[in-house]
Amino acid sequence: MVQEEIQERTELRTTRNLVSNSSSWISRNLKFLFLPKYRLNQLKPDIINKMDYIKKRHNRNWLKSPLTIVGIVIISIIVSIAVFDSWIAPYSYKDAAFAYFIDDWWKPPSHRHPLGTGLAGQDIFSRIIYGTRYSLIIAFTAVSISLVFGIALGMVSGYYGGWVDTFIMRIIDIILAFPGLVFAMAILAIWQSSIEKMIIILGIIGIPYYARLMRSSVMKTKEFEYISAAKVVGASNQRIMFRHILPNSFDPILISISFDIGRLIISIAILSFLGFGDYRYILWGDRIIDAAYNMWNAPWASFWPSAMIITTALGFMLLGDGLRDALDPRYQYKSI
Amino acid sequence: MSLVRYIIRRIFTSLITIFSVLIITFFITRALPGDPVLIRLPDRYTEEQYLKQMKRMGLDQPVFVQLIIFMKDMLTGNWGFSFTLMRDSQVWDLIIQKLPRSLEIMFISMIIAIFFGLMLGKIAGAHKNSKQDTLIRIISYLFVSIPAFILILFILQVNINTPFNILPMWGYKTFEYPEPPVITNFPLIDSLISGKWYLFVDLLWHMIVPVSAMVIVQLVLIMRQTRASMIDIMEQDFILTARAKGFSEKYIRNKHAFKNAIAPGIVASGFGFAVILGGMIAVERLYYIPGMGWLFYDATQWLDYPVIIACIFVYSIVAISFNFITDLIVAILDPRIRIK
Repeated sequence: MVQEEIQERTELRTTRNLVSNSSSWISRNLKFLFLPKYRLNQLKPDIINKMDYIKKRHNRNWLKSPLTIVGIVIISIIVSIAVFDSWIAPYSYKDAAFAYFIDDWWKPPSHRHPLGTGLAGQDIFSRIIYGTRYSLIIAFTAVSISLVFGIALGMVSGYYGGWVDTFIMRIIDIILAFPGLVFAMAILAIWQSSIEKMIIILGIIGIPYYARLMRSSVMKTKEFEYISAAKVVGASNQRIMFRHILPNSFDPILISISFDIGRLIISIAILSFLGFGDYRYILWGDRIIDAAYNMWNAPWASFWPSAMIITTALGFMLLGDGLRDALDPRYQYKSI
Repeated sequence: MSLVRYIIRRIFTSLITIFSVLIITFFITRALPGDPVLIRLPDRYTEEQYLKQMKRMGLDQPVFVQLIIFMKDMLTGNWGFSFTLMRDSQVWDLIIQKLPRSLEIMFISMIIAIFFGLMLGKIAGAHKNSKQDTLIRIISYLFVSIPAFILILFILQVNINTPFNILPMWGYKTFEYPEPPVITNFPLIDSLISGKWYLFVDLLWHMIVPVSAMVIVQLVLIMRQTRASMIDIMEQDFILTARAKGFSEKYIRNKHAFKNAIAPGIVASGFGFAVILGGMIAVERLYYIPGMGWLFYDATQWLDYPVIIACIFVYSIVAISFNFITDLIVAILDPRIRIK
């Protein structure tokens, strides 16, 4: 078995191209010079760690798909836009969000305004740049809220089983049957919408998905022998849950995080489109309805924010597909 | 027999869910800002009047009794009067008038989406990595991340920038045409029954844009699921057995594989329904369809609490009954589900 793997590895090594070969040769030799006692490690017998090998295979498969790479590139561009927004945008946040330029309403793209202007003469390019940060903040925080509570609930109900499981799952089934977005709209309308409330509500809506996923994953992991071994050794329930089960049942969660962020970006777009955004902050969906009324004379004002929403959501969906291909061998080459 | 048992059990869980919806909406009404008693009193009022009004509204009773009264009111359609929209109209009348217009669009788009989603998913899954499969995958990647209202925007944008420019830009019927007579409240059915076929054609013509947007959003979900499950099933042993028996490939695909691959797609459409309801509100807002979504949107803008609460209740019932129907379809198609 080990022999075959070594053989495969050497085959792979020979198929590398010239550039990477030479660069790796340089790095190999530099290691000997600069790292003390490095050669000693190098002289040890080459025992291949099987898990290590599987990980490498995963990474290769994951990167094999060009669509995944597209997704990663989109996400990195979007995240860097969110981080460096004030460097990229030509106008200040105040000008883009609150200012009123009386002569500039619905102006076509020009030297001063690369993507044209929208309502109140505000620069569309600056608006979509500044909007990136808040959409991402809402999506990431809401996902982390639903992640923490969903994992906790799912793990407890999957690990203990019995009436605890029945009780938690009944509640979760009930929450799942609700039309979440409609509830979010009602609550945001009643209590004066703001970004913080959006985060909390979207986070709560996401809890049941993660709880269900975690529960099924935990129930699978619980049956393995190393869990019974840990029990025999005398590990506490807490230790088994956090040290043994959690790392081994995290893969499906990791896959769905990426999908969920994409889904949340669409939900945020719908909410802000309907006017449940935050007047203090720019969100992509905020002005689409005003721009839609001016579709005839200013198509750019509705096109660019919606293009931004689609691109961001698409990036996360593509990454999710790639992650699923890499981490879930059952789905390889099957997922669209 | 097991199907009947499954249905009874499913009805029971749906009832539990409806009761929990009622309880949660009751606590939302408790937490609303403002005093409900003051709204129904004149500007100057005495302590006595206040207490009398409070007693009349049943607010002096314990919370548990109030909850029971609230539940009874909600279930019997006694949803109170609208505050702001149309002051004299009952919320029940408003919703009965508006809901069918949304249901029509949702129902038609759902049927088309399920039909074409299953078909395309079957084709893509059965011919893995072929030309059709690649085409379908590219389409699904294009549309997977587009919300319905943005799709409508794009369709309208294309519509006004091409010389054809024939699709209607807004509304659920041509503005000058009369309203269809009120018989069942479903405009399509009403116009057919009363024999106004020009109105029927007009309604259908105005439905093209919103329905196609809603169809695409749901179709992609169903298609992806069906393709994955189809590929999964085509590799299983009973397909090999069927091939060994000498059935034609088309027969195997349609009778053996597809029947087993239907369930995940329909279940996926059930899960996505909550988001689709939210998307439907945005669609109605953008395309000016005076349906349930527009009513709900107006109520949230004017803080019309009775309408908001009734809308939440009705939307929940729509979602629950849709989940129930999808579960029922899956159970009829797939006997394995019933046993679980």
